[in-house]
Amino acid sequence: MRILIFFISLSCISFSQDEFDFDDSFDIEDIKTFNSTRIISGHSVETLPEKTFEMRIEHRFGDIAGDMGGYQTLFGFDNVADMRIALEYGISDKLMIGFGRSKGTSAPYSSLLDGFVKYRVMTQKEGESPISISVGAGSTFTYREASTDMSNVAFFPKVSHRFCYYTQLNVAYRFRDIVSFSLMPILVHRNYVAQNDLNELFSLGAAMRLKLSKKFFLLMEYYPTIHNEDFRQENFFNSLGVALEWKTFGHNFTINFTNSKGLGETQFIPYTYENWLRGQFRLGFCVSRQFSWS
Amino acid sequence: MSCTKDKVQASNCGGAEEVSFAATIWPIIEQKCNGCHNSGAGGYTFDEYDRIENNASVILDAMRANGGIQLMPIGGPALNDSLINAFEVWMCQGKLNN
Repeated sequence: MRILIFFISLSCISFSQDEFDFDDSFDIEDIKTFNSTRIISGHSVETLPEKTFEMRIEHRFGDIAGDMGGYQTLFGFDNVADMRIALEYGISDKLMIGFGRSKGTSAPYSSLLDGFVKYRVMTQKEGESPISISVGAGSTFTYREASTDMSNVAFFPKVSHRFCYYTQLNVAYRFRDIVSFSLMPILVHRNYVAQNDLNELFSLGAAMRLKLSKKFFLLMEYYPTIHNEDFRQENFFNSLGVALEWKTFGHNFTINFTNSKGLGETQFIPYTYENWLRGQFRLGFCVSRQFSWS
Repeated sequence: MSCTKDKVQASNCGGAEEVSFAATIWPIIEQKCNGCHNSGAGGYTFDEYDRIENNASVILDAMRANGGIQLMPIGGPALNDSLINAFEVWMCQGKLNN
């Protein structure tokens, strides 16, 4: 009986939230360069407001087309490429931290824990600053059981081989509230890589947000890796994504298509094996919800 | 946490004899895997050498239910150790298409 009362109470709370017209609050919000702290796979220039939590659930399905897609897998719906659940927090309006856990793609990582810190250096404001800038750094740790295959990157002879790091500069410009651009140079360091791979990998990310209506936005994001290593050129592709973003008060929904399977900078930048031109792209989504205790 | 710049090391594969893809590896895949994986089950198709070669590490981990990966063949039982060892040696020898 107590359980029944609990669930009835819970449903009443949910109902009362649905009744509130959040859309009225839209006009009082600041115009942002990007609506979320992420664009599609990577970070945006934005940080969370002070003393605000954000819960994020990100998901990537299997290939829509190509050899692994098509109607046999309902265009990728039968397969989960990766998923991440995370809790992030704005310590101040300029400084945020986040922690997450991803399934991983198993190529090579799975069971990933991640953490990051991001600091907003500058905010675009008329008469003050023409651009917005933030800097960030993060790390991932995989606690998957080590592979018994010595030739596998997941063989992990040392515990330190389970760690990867990244550091990123994010420079963004917004033209009114119509279109935003961002350049996102990033350095990814992996402690343990394949014999012909690079421990340090640089990528010059770029992104764009185009306003379609009051609530809908088109997002594009591209992370080309810059190197002269044949091994990487033969085996890997650059991450390219396009998304439709639906902004509601407190919530943010992104429906995206990307060739990357993995979530997180240490996965989608160095380990994108999939090629858009072979139909190896997938549907993904992100749902985020901001809340505070007070 | 520390920063290292290590890479996967080559090994001598325990001095085993060369494992043939056509005579040893393909029959294992065909008989034990391709009941399901001839048409993209779980996102994997193993109908030709290139796909087996590209996914060899995942296949080996699945044979041993290693790294949180579902044991394959699904529902068990696991393959005999001799078959798994042959697959591992084939990988160690460079995943030859011989």
